[in-house]
Amino acid sequence: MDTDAAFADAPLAPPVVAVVVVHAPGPWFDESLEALADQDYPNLNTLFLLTAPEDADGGDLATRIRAVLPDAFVRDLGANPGFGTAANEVLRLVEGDSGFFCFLHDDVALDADAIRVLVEELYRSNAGVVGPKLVEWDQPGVLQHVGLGMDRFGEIDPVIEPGEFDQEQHDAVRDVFVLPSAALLVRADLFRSIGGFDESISFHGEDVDLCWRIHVSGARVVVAPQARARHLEQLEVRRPDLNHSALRARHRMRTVTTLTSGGRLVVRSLELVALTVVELVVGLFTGRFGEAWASLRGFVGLLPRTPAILARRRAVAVYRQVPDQELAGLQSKGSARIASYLRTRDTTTYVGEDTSVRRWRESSLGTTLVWLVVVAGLLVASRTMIDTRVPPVGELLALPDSPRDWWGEFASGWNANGLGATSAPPTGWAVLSLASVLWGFRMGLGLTVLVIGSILVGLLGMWRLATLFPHNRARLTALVVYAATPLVPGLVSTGRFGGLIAYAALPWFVHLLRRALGVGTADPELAHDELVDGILEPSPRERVRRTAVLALGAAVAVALSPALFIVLALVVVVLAAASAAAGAGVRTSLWCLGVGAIAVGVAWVLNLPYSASWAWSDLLSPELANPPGRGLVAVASMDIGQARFAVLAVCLLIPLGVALAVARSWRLTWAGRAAGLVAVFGVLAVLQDRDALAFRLPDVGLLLAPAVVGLAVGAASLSAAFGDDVAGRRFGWRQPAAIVALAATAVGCVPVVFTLTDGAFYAPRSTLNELTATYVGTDADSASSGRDDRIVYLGDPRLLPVPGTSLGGGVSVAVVDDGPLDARDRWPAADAEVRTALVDVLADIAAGQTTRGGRLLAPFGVRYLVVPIVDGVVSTGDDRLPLATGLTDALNTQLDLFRVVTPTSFVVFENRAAMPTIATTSGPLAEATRADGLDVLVTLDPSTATPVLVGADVDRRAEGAVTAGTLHIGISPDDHWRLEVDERVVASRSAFGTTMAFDLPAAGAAELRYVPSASRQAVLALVVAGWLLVLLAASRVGVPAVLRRTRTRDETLLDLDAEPGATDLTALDRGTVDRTGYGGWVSEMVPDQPEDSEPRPR
Amino acid sequence: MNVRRLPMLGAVVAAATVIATVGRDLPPSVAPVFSAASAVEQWMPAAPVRTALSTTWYCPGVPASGEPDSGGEIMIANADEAELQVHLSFLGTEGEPVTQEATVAPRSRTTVDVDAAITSPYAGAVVEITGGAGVVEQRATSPLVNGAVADSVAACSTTTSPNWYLAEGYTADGSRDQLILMNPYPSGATVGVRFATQDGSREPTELRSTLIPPHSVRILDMTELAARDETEVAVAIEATKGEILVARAQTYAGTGRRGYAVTLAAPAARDQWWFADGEVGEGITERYSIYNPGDESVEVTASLLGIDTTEFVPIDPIDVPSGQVVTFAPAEVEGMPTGRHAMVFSAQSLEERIVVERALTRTFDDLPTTSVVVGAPPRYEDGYVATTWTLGYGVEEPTPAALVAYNIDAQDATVTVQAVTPSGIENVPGLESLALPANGLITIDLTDELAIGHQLILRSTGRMFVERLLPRDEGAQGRVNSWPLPAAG
Repeated sequence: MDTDAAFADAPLAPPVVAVVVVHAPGPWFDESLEALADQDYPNLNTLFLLTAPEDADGGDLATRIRAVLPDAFVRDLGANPGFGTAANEVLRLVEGDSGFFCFLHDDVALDADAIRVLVEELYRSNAGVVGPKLVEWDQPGVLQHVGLGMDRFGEIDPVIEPGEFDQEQHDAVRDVFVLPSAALLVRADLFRSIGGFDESISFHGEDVDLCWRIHVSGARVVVAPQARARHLEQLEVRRPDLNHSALRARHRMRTVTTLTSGGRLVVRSLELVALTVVELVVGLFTGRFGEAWASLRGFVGLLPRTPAILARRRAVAVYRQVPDQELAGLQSKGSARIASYLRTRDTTTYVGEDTSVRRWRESSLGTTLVWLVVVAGLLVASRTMIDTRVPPVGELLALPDSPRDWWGEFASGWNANGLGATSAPPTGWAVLSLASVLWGFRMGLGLTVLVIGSILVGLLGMWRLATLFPHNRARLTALVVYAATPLVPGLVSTGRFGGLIAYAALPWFVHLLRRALGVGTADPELAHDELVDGILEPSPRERVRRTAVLALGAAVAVALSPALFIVLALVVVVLAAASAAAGAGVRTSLWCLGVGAIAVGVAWVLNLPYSASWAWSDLLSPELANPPGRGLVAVASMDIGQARFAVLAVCLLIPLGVALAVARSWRLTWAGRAAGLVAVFGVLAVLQDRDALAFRLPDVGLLLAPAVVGLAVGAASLSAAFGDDVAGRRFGWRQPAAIVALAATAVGCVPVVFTLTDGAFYAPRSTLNELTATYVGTDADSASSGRDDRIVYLGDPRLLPVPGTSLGGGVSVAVVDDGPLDARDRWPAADAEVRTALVDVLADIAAGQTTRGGRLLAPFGVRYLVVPIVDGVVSTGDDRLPLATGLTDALNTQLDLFRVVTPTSFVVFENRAAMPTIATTSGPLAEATRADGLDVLVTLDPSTATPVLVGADVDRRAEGAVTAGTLHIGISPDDHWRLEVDERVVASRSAFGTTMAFDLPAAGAAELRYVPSASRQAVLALVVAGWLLVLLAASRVGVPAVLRRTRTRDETLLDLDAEPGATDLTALDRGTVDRTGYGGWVSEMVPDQPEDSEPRPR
Repeated sequence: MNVRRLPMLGAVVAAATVIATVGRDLPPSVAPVFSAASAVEQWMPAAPVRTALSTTWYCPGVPASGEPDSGGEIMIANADEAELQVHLSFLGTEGEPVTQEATVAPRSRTTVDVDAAITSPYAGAVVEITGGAGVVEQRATSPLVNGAVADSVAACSTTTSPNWYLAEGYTADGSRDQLILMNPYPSGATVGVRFATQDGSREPTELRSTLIPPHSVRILDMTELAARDETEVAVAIEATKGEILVARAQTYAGTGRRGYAVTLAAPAARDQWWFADGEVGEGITERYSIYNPGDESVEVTASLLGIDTTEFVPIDPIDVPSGQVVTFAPAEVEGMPTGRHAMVFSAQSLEERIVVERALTRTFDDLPTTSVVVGAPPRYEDGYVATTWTLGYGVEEPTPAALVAYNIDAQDATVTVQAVTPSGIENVPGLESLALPANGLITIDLTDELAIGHQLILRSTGRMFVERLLPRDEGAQGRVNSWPLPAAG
C-alpha cells in the first residue's frame, strides 16, 4: 500500500503510545529503534522506560534512542522491577484513555506497517488487544509465535512447533487466549480499567495474566498475523540470574488461582495437585523433573500468599464479565504441559565468549536411569539404617526426643551437656530442631534422614555443580564418581557427621560460588575455542543475592559442623588460586576470593554468638599420641573407614591427571580447579596422616570432601574433554590416555558395588556406645535412676562418644550426663574453670598425687569412668588402638573406683565416692563445700550426699523437698540458677572453689530453676534478624511497587485525550463505533466490518 | 602444549612430590600416655620426696589374731614441720575394713596398734596421709617356739602391683611360710599363684584363680598348699585382675633356721639385685635364692663386693632355668674371705628377669637367728640408687653396727646420719661425714643418745645401699635385717 498517499488526506489516526521497556540492550537495539522510527502509523508516540541508564556496552541509552527517535520520551526507572511493573509506568506517565498502548520488548523489531495493521485489526475485530506474528530475529522465515494457546492450568500451548517455517499457514486473524507481551496493542481505556499488568509478576506470565483478565473483562484477544515483528526472545540469556522455570511456575499458579472463578477454584486446585503429581512422574522420565519440581514449589508457595491472592481475586471480581464456562471454550483442552513434555525439548542458557545463547538442552532417558540407579543404590546401601535405625557410631548420635525442648534449650542459653554451663548454645541445635519438620518431628527417623539425606543432598549438589558441563555425559560422570568414592562408606561407618555435612555442602558451595561469580555453562558450540570460562556477569543485585544464598548455605553447614568453617575458607582460597593458575584471570580470582570470603564471613556471623565461643582447637581434629597413619594408599583412595576394595578408588586420580593433560578451553579450567582441590586437600590429608605439620587440621573426613569434589569434577572434565578435545582429533597419545583414564574411572567406581552388600555402609551393628550404656546408666532403661550423675570417658579421643578435652599424651576426657546419649552431647559445654578443675583432678590421678581421685571427682557428679578400647570402627579386635599407658593402672589404684566387670572392649569404673550432680550435704561434707579447693575431699566421703531436685540440670527446673544443709550442684557458679525454698530465694555461693552451692538453713519445699537472661533473648533476636536479613537478600523479593512509585516524580508526559485524533473508544464496546469517526481515518483504513466484530457484552 | 597447563601441571607435580616425600614412611608409633607415674616399672618401697595431695601407704600385714605375744603396729614418721592427718584402714580376712584417724605431730612418730583395732590372722593397713610427707613402716610380732617373742620390721609401700615374687621360702623343719595377699581396692582381684621348689615349678589348679575380695587380706599357707617340708620355695603371684600387695610371713622353727620375718615381696622381677649386708664366717649361714619366673633360663652373675681384699674371688655364673629357683651360698665359693660383704646378682640383659632373696642366719648363744630380705634393685627407668635413706624404725637402745652402707660408686663418699627430733633435724654426733670408701661398705653404730628413739635419715655424697640390723626384742636374740626407705628421688 502506498501509505504516503493514503495518509496524505487521511483523517488523523487515534494516538498510539509505543511503550518499550529497555534493559541493558545489546547491539540489536538499534534495529528495534529504527523499526519504530520506520513505522508508517501517523500518530505514534514512543515511550522508553529504562531499567538502567546504560546499555550492555555502557553507552548512554537516552542518547542512543534520541539519535534515532528524537521525539521519544525516555524515562529511567532506576531498577528493573520486571516487565509488567515497568510497563505499568505508562499509566502514570500517560493520561487519558482515548488511544492505544503498544507494549514492546526492547528486542522486537516491528515491520514498518505493523502498528497500523494492528490498529486496523483492533477496529476491525473490535478487540481489546491485538498482537502481531512474531518471527525469529535472525531468521524471519521461521515462526516464533502467532498468538498463544493456554490450558485451564495457565500452561502455554505454543501452537507453533519449534523451527516451524512461515508459509502463511497461520496468517488468518483469529482469537487467541494469550498474546506475548513482546508486542501487543491494547486499548488504553481497557488497560487502565483492569489495572494494567499484575505487578506481582516480575517476569514470565505477565502477558498470560493480562490477556486472561482481558478475556474475563469481556474483550477479545486477537492475533493479526499480517502485522509482523522480529523477536530476539533472549530473556533467559539476558537474565540468567533469574530462576525462569520457578518464576514461570509461580506466576502461572498465581494467575490460575486469582482468575479462575470461585465456583471452579476448588476443583481446579485439586486438578492442579493431581497434575503436579503427574508432571513429577512424567518429568522423571522425560528429563524435565526440574520443571515439575518448580510446579510443585509454585503450588506450595501459594499457601503463604493466600491473603494476597484473595485480595487480587476481589480486585478482578470488579470487572469480571465473562463466566469461566465461556472462557473454557477458548482454552486448550487437557494439559498443555503434558502435551509439551511429550513433543518438545527444553532449552537452556549457554555462555559464550562475550555473550550468551539459548540452545536446546540435552534431554535423555539416560540421565533418569543413572539417577534411578544412584538413588536405588543409595537406598540399598542404607537399607539396614532405613529398616531399623542408624547405629550410634561416632558422631551419629540419636536426635533428642523433643524438638520443642531442644529449641527451648537453645533459646535458654543453658547447655546441660558435659559439665553444663551457661553458654552460647550451638546454632546447629536451632537448625536441627527447626529441620525436624522435615521428618515430621519423628526424631528417631531424623537421624536416618540426616545421614541418607546428606548423601543425597551432596549428590544433588554435585549434579548442580556439574551443570557447568553442557553435556549429560560429563554431568553423569561427576555424579557417579561423587557417589562412588569410598569416602561415603568411610564417613558413615566411622560416624563422621561433620564429614557427611561436608560431603553434602561442598558441591553446593562450589556451585553457588561459581554462580555468584557468574561462571555459567559454556556454549558447547564453542567447544573448540579457547574459552577459559563461560562468564556471564550477574547484575550487582543478583550477585548480592547469590552471595547471600552462598552464605546461607555455608552458615547452615557450619552450624552443623563448625570445623567446616576452616574447610570452606580454604576451598575459597584454593579455587581462587586455581582459577588464577588456570588462566581464568585476576578478576575472576579476586571475585572468587571476595565473594567466598564474604560468604564464609557471613556464615560465621550468622552462627553468632556460638561462633564467638569457638576455640581453635574445637575446629580441629583431636590431639593424638601418634599420627593417624592410615597410609598413603588409604588416604589417596579416601578410605577412612570400613570400605571394601577401596584401594581401587586410587584409579580416580588418573582421569584428573589426564584431564589436565588433554582438556582444553573451559574444560581445562575446571580440570585445573579440580586439581587444585585434590592437590591441596590431598596433600593436607597426607600431611595430617603423617603428622607432618606444625599444626593440626580438621578431621580427615572434612579434608577429603573437597578432594572428592575435585575428583568428580576432574572426571567430568575428562569426560567432556573426551568428546570435544580427544575424539575426532588426529590419533596420538591423547586417545589412548583418555581411554585408559575413562577405564580407570570405571575401575575406581568398583568399590561402591561392595558397599551395596552391607546395608549400613559397614557401620558396626552393635556399637560401643550401646554396650557401655548398659553399664553406666546411659541407656534408656536406666535413665531414671533417681539421681543425676555424670560419666567421664577417658582414652583415645577417637574412641570417645563425644568431643573431649585433651589431657596431653594423646588422651582426652569427655563428660556426658546420665541418660541416653543424644546429638546434643556432641556439643558439650563447660565453664573453663570447672573443666580445668576436672582436668586437674585427672592430672593428679595420673601423677599419682592421690589415690582418692574418686572423691575429688565427686563434686562434678562423676559416677562412672569409662575407658573405651575397641569400638569396632577405628579400633577393632584385629587392629586395636593402643590403650594409653598407665590409664587403667592409675584408675585401678584409686581407692574409690570400683572396676565393673565388663566386656574386654571397654573398662568401666564406678566411683563409689560419687555424689549426685544435685545433692544435699550435711555435716563435715557441707562444711567442706566452703573450702576453696577440692583437696579437702581427700579425707571426706562425698557419697553421703543425698540426691534432690532430680533432672533440674537438664530440664532447667525441678521441685522437691530439701533438708537443711547445703545444696550442692556440680556446675560452675551461675547466677542464672535460682533456688527458692518455701518461696524464699536462697543465695548461691561457690563450693570447693569450683562448683555451686546453696546454704539451706531449714528444710522446705524447694524450686530450682534456670532463669535465662534478657541479654540472651536480645542476642537471639539479633541473630534471628540477621538470618532473616540474609534470607531477604537471598530471595528475589524486590522493593515493593508502592515504595518504588514514591521514589519517582509524579509527572505526565502525554495525555491521550488531548492528543490529536483522540476518540472515545467506549463506542467500540457499545457497538456504535462511528466508522467514519476518527476524522474518517478508520473508514478509509478499515473498509469492511467483519461479521464477527460484534462486541461481546460487557 | 597449551601454556595454561603449565602452572596447573606444576602444582600437581609439586603436590605429588610433597606426598611422595612426606608420605613415604610412617613416623614411629608412640603409645598414648595417661600416667607416666603409673607406667613405671615397680621398684622397691621408697619415701616420696614431693608433696602430694595425699599419699597412701600399703602395709602388707601384721598378726592381729589377738593371740598372746602376737600383734603388730604401724609406725608413721613425720620429718616435716607440719602435722600429718592420717586415715588408717585395717583390712582383715573377713568383714569390713576398720578405720581410724590419727595425727602425727611435726618431726615426730606415731605408732598405731593394729591388733587393737581389728581381729584377723593377719591384718593389712592402708595408711592415707594428708598434709605433708611421711613414711610408714610396720612391725610384726610373733612368738617363737621357745617362748621368745620375735619381731620383724618392714617398710610399707606406696604402690601396689599386679605381680609379686618371692624367691626364698622355707617350710622344712616345721617352719611356716604364709603368703599375705592384701587387696586394698574396692574391686576384687584375681591372682594366679605358682611356685618352685627343688622338684621344679608347679601351678596348682586351686591357685590359678585365687580371688582376693575387695578391702581384704587373704592368707595362703604354703605349707598346707603344696610345699610341705621344702627348703626352697619360690613363689610368683600374678594378678589377672586388679592390683594387690603381697608379703610373706615366715616363721622358722627348725634347728637350722630360727626366727620370724614378715617381708614384702618383690613387685617385679629385675635383672639386678643388690645386698649391702652379707657375711661369711663361723656360725653364719648366708644363702641367696635366685628365682627365675620367666620363660627362658637366665645366666646370673654373682659379684662379691665391698670385701677388704685385693684377691679376686671368681664366682661361676649361675644358671637359673625357667621357672626354677637356685640357691647360692657364698661360703661355698672357693677363696671366699670371711667377714662382711655386699653382693650383686645380675642377669645378662635388662630383659632377663630374676628375683633374689637372701636368708642370713647368724648364731647367737648357740641359737640361730634368721632374717630374710629381698634384694634392692636400682630403679628401672634411670638406674637410680638413692643417696638418702630414712628409717622410721630406728633403734631404741644403743646398737653397734646397726646400719650397713655400701657405696656402689668407684668414688669415695661420706655419710651423715641425722635424727628427726621435735627441735629439728640434727646430725647425730659422731656420725657426721663418715667415710664411705669407693665400692666399700661400712657399718654404723647407733649408740649416741640422739640416734636413739628417733626417725633417722642417712645422707651420703654418693649412691649407696643401706641395710639396717635392728635388735630383736628382749629374749629374741640377734638382729633382723630390713631395708630402710630410700628417697624416691
